[in-house]
Amino acid sequence: MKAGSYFLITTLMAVVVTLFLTANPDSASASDTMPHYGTTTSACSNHMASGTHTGAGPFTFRLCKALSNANYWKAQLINVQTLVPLTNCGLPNEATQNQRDFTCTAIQIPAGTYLASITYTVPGGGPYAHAHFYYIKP
Amino acid sequence: MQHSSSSSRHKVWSLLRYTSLGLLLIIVSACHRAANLIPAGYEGVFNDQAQASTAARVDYPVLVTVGPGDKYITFRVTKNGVRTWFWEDGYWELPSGWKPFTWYRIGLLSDEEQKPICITKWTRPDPDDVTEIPCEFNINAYLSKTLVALLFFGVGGDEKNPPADNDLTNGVVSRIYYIIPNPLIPKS
Repeated sequence: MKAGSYFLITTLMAVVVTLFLTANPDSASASDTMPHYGTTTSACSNHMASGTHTGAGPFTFRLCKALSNANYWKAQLINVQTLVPLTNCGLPNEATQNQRDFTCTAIQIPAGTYLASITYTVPGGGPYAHAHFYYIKP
Repeated sequence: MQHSSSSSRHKVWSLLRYTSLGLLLIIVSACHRAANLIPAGYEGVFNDQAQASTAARVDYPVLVTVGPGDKYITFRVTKNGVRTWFWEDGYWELPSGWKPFTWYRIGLLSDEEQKPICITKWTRPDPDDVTEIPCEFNINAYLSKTLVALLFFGVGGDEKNPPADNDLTNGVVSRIYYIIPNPLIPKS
């Protein structure tokens, strides 16, 4: 019984050590190496949750430059069924700031599910595209 | 009598201890995998999960070369796209890492057009790591232009029926694509 415990604990420690050895040293904050959409209240304290509802009224989207070193970016909301971006709701290409909000009225966001997309460049590189999560307009 | 009670307590305690250790083992081993679009010839990088995870953390663009008269390009989808461990940001928002990828769908967009250039149907992944998905469109109109490819991937679920396009459990990855003429293929 004791031998079994030692075996399990040893295996557990080996797994943990292996995970840390194989992971990228920056992996704890890896997703912050790319610009991203923030929560409804803060651009940079956390990432948006997939399925965030935009509600019935106007909605403010919050972008965070994070550690990306991006110098220009644009943001689009792409309908996941038609793959057509919203024309009147998004951020046109512009120089980045650490945080950037843009607000769309209720009319500018028709009902549907939208992919939150960011296209950005870094000095001497890009453009790159980044999209992971969805917004929903009920 | 007292000995029997002590033995039972010991057994329950052991069971709890092993269950806890087992759960801990499962938790620390848990990671999410995401599918990803890769350039041709990069299977060597993406076959190694640790390398793939590191590579996929960069929003790398994908270059596709075409010959004269080509009518379609081929998207290459790997199952070893991004690996996200449970301690990393976004882990709890991602599709379950324990379920297999069951469907892929790709769209290609251009800034110059409101409609997508091409959208593939939901496609079942190959048993191999990399699945090749062709998409036909007027290639010459988009040479050397900045395009955005969107890869949606269904996780688990129904293997016979594709997921709804607006299913929030579908994972998604986007990549910049460039299509250029292959200079080594002679013009006929």
